[in-house]
Amino acid sequence: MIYAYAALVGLLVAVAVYLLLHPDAVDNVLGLVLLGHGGNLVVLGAGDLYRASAPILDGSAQIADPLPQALVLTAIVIGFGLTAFAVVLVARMDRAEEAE
Amino acid sequence: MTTVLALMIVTPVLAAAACLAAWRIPHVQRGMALVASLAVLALAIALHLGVAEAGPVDLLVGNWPMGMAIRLRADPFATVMVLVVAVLALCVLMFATVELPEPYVSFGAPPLVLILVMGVCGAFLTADLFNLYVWLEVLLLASFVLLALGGARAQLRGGTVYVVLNIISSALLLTGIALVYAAVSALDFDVIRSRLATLAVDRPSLVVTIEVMLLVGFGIKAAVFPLFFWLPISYPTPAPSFTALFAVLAGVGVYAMMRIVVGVFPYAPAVYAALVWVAALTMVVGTAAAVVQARLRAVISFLDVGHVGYVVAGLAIAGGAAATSRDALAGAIYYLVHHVVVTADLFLIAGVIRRLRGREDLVGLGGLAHREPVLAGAFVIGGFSVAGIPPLSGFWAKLGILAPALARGHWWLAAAAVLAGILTLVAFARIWNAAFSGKPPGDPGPELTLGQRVLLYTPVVLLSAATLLLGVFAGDAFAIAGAAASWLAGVAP
Repeated sequence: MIYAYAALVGLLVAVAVYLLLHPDAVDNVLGLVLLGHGGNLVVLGAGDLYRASAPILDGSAQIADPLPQALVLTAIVIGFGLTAFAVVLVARMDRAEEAE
Repeated sequence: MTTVLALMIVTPVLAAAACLAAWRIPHVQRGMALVASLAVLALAIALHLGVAEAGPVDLLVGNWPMGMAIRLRADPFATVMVLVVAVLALCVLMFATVELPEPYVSFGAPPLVLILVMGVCGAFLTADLFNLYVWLEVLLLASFVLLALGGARAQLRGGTVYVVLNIISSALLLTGIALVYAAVSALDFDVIRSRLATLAVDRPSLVVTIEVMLLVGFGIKAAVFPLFFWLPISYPTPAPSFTALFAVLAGVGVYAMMRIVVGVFPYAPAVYAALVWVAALTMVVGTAAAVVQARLRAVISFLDVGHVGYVVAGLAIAGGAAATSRDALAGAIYYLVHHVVVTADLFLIAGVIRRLRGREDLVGLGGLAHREPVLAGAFVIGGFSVAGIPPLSGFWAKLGILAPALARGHWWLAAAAVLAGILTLVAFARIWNAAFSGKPPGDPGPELTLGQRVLLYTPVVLLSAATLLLGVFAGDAFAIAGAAASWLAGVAP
């Protein structure tokens, strides 16, 4: 499980790097999104997600650490804000170039 | 004192909210932002004096137990930096009352400045790794908008580079923080430090890998070689008030690097050895590029890059036990304070020149020395200070780096520092020749009214006076920096 999870993160980052190296600005933004998701998955994985059950206290033995799940929520929100700004910036760039 | 610590962050955000309520009334926004920045300055002074007297203050947010709570911590290094940003915010907001066009204000520039100040204060005052990441994002988002306000094409281009590079840096940081948490199950600086110390014995390469990952993330924000390229592209483009405010942003990056390397991660010789190279190349490449720039703020942006290298140099030679690293760290801290003050000063002076001449490329600006002697005086003090002429703060700052470098046998680093100092002087000679001496251009540009003159020159003179005073009272300043260095390394002075 952990290896599949790591491979998924690796794939996301690899595609992100590929898109970031493209000359097209929209591709770059998509690359940033995927890079952020790669980071988010690493955070999520830090909580022993793949070895334990969901962090709901019902008396069962092993639950996953809930803190990384809280952290990843914060990171997703921040990433969404950054992406929204990047998209607007790229759109404004496009319009400025068309105007010339 | 914990109340003051909390207010340091709460005050700017409340003031920003109040400004947003007055969205359509620019005068009210400006006034409230100025009052708020005065309040922040008063709080920063109170916090600094309180901490200097009674030692660091900790605040466990929400009263969670230590190790679980997000911890805010005001130690002397943090309070000094908070004081610097408070002074800077006041200067910038005062400057902006004249310099900033009305549309910028009604678009929410004052609350954005306050939110940026909140983010910077939070980043300085936190003792929690993930919380540090969140504060960095807060200040980055505010700076994104300030950078793009106005929407000129150069701004959008510079803004895109800035945004993309900083998002990449944030992704690296986030991954690094996740690895730290996976390795030690903690986010509090002190808890990480104690748990990494045992881990570093068993798996040293893992610890160094995580540390380097975080350092690359912070290094992009600090604009060190070879990660600095976004800074000179983006900083010369927004309204000059904002560029001056951004002078503190690279400082936040270096501050975080110092916290991580000295305060959190155990001693790793390889990291310090790499930092020596990073510092030397940052100094030389930054200042050498400054010499050949054609525009005023591009020159100063590259100088900003180059002189961040000195701070990293102080950090790089500090390696080893706390007792032996104190003098080099104190030099780095003094340099960081000096650097932010004087860089902001120069950016503001560039802003005045742009206002007077309506342009900022280094041809046809001439003759300002006769027309604006106050500005010329402030520029001479600021420029000589950056170049390292005694008795200004830049001289003592460079001495504080060079002396420990030579004492530890870092000859090449010392040589690079001296070379960078000479290149800086050349860059200033170019600005002086282009803008202050020589003949004025045919079109003299707009005249300033007395009121405008007072509001534009007070911040400039204040910051130039600050570098002079930091130099004259260098002994006292180094005593404070020494105490800050000790606390940074985790021991009481």
